[in-house]
Amino acid sequence: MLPLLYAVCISFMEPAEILTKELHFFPNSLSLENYRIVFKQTAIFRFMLNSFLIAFVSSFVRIITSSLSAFSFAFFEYKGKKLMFYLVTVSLIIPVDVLMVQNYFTVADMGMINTYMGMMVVFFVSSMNIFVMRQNFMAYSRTLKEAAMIDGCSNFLFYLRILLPSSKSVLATVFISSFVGTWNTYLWPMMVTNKNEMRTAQVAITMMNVNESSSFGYGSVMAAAVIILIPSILVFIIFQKKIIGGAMAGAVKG
Amino acid sequence: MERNQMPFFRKLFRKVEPYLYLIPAFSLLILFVYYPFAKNTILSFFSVDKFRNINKFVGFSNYVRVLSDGNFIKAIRNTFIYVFTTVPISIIIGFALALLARKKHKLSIVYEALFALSMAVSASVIAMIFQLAYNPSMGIINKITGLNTSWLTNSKTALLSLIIIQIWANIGFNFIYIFSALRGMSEEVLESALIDGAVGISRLFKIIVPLISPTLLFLLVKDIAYAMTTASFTLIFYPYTDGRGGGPNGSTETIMSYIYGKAIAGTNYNAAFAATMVGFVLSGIMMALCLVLDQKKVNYD
Repeated sequence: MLPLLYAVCISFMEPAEILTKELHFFPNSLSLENYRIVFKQTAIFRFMLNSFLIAFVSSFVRIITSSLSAFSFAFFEYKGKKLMFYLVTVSLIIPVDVLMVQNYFTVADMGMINTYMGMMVVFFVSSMNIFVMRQNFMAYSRTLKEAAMIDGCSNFLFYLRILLPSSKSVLATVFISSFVGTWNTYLWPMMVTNKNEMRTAQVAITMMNVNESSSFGYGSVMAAAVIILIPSILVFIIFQKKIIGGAMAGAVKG
Repeated sequence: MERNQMPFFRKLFRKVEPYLYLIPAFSLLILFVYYPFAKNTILSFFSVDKFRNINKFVGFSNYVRVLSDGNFIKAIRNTFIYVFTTVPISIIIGFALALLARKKHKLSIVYEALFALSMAVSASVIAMIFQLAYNPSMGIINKITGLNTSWLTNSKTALLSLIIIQIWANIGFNFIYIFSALRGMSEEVLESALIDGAVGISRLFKIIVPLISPTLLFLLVKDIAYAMTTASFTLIFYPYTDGRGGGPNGSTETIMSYIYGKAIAGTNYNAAFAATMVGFVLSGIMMALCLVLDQKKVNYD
């Protein structure tokens, strides 16, 4: 928390103050100059938009992929189910970062460098999320599904109309944690983009060079950092409430 | 509807249905996890040219070449230093803070919020903040300590600087998990331990640690897996330009940043693929050690 406070303080300081040798923790006078410079000289809104897009879409797709597979694992019995689930577990152990290089080639060969799709596609599935959802679904009452089937409901409709709506809490958790994770991710978006306007906020901020002539100093970098932090902090504050307030409404008792 | 009256396609669909639901997730898993893994393994035994065309089978010679590269050995050494410092220290500090926070019930909500906040911060933002803090003339660290060290550019202090950043970054997450595990400890077990005379330090190690050992193991595994394969800070502070990078005198090169340097900044794919497999094996060994720890020391009742 201290470094965050430090960043906020610096972002409000005037450049002259930052450069002095004396120790100033709190700014002598609050100045919005750094923020003005950030907005004028960087395409920060574009960067944030890029980050937001890939975070939002990836999280949304992830909900679909993980809930569908969890649905299959939790509600059906079939040959090879154990094997398939084993494959999911194994993929958890493989450190994904090490695969980045190969994935880069795959994505490049598909012509997806510098595209939103290229940045998002590796985030469309998460074994961890499949696990969590499966756990959640397995605790779901079977009798409800049986009741629905007797009423002539197909499996898919059960999934769509009954299971998903009553799993809102878990879905929200998966969405939010995916969103924050994808918003914060650095390595992959850095690898697949080299055009400035496609860069995400996280990548862009590391490339903001301190340039004395255009008065883009450290204060401005801190200002940009604060701006980028706001969405994830906001999401986190709301997240805390969600966990406390969310609970599955028991549709079948006993 | 009787079984033998069901139309053929219906029956087929019923059988195939669960597999259909697995298709989205699995096609992605195969494409981005299993396929690259297999490809990397296979290619590491061949010699590949600049355009990733296969030249010929070379057995283990890529591995021999990469393991005799001083820079790679340095990267391995750095990575292990990184793991063995950041992981234990950040867990211990997180643990200590959680114990402290447990005593002050009124303030604990504040602590939770503060630490949860640090979880929301990304690696790049942390890096930028610390880059300023480490600045020799303007940064707050030198201002407070009165030193004149060039933390990030001096090969003796560079790795240490990154380690400090990583420890800070890990503490928040560790704290939250340990704190909620502490809260979940049953009062009865604690009370009966008190009756048995377990107080203070011995209570800490004999009762509390075993009670939350699953959480500690989880944090251990997660932090080790991350530290073994990280390169974020190295690549942020010392980007590869003209094929050179890895920090002052290679002192902050990690396994992953070495691989990045060979494959993305350069085109030495042979070294990159072999190095990737070595990285896999080393991570695997660390994970296996954790599993052993799980069997021997972790308490699940």
